Amino acid sequence: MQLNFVSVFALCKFALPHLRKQRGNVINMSSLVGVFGQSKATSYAATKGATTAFTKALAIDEAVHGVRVNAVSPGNIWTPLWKVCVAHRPTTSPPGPTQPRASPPARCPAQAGADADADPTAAREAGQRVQVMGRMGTVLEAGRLCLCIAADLTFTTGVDHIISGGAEIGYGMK
Amino acid sequence: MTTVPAESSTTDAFVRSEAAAFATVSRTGYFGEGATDSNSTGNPRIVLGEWYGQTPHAASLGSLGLSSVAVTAQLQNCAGRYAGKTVIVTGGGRGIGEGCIRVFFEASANVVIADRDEATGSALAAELNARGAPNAALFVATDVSVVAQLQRLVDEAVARFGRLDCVVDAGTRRTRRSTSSRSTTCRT
Repeated sequence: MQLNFVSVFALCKFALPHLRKQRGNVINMSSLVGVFGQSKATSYAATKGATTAFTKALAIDEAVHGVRVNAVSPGNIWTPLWKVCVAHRPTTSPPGPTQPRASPPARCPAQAGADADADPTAAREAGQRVQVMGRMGTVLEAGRLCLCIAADLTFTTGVDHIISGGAEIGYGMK
Repeated sequence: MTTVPAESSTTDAFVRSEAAAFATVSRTGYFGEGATDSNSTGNPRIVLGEWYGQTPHAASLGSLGLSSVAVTAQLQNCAGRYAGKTVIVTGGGRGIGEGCIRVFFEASANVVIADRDEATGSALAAELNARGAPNAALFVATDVSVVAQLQRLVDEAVARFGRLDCVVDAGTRRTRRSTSSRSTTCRT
């Protein structure tokens, strides 16, 4: 909670005097998990839900100062953390089509997103199948959304922007 | 989208010229209202990086399996879109924060990399600054769980670049704790 939410609160507090001068904006990295939860991640989901709610409340208060406040909720983005999960595989080529399953399965050192922690390849494949687009996003794609919000979406504030490749649409296997 | 004039003379040194903006990776970019080198009439237009002698990109995102071609493609059309502005990205040393840093840098913004990991953060700043746009990237070692360091982060960013236009909070961490008390942490 201190790391995920209080830090956001404090940084906004310190930055707002400067942002108001430039009529700037804030982008808080939230998560889809803040909306629909995740197994074994109650506190994490709570901080992300708090971030989204905080974003909307701050957007109301700062509108008079010309500062826009938005949130970004990424789904599965191919990050170093995900990479750790499949580090035992000989090659990686994310993001892309599902790769042939490698053997032997190694224990996943970090449970990121998928539950198949005993098999990193399966974890990655599961992570890709979560999206209707069939792949994970890239960090640059996440960055581009932030740039779009900052530079172009000048009439958008208090919105939680989803970048998930369609992870949250349709029925999922439970 | 437009190039905002610097507030003070101390800031001028850190506002990149249009030519310097295309010392980055983007192959194309947009320059809005106001006359620039490529836009003497003041009409907004799309410009191409190669007109400014832009060199091919040496991808450092290879560790994520992103090829140089993919990186270049995903940084298309960024140049000039946030020129003259300053952005702070927490967790900017890697992961989604790094992606934000790279994209905003491509957009010609001054970027402040706030990360707890000094090695990756300073390496990223050095890589960006080596692209012919010196002083456009600043690394500030920051543990976002320490409030005092956040105040220092903002102070350093404003002291260096003279202004602050955007804050991206990407410096978070995911903790999943199983019932067997084996905890794992990961950054999202």
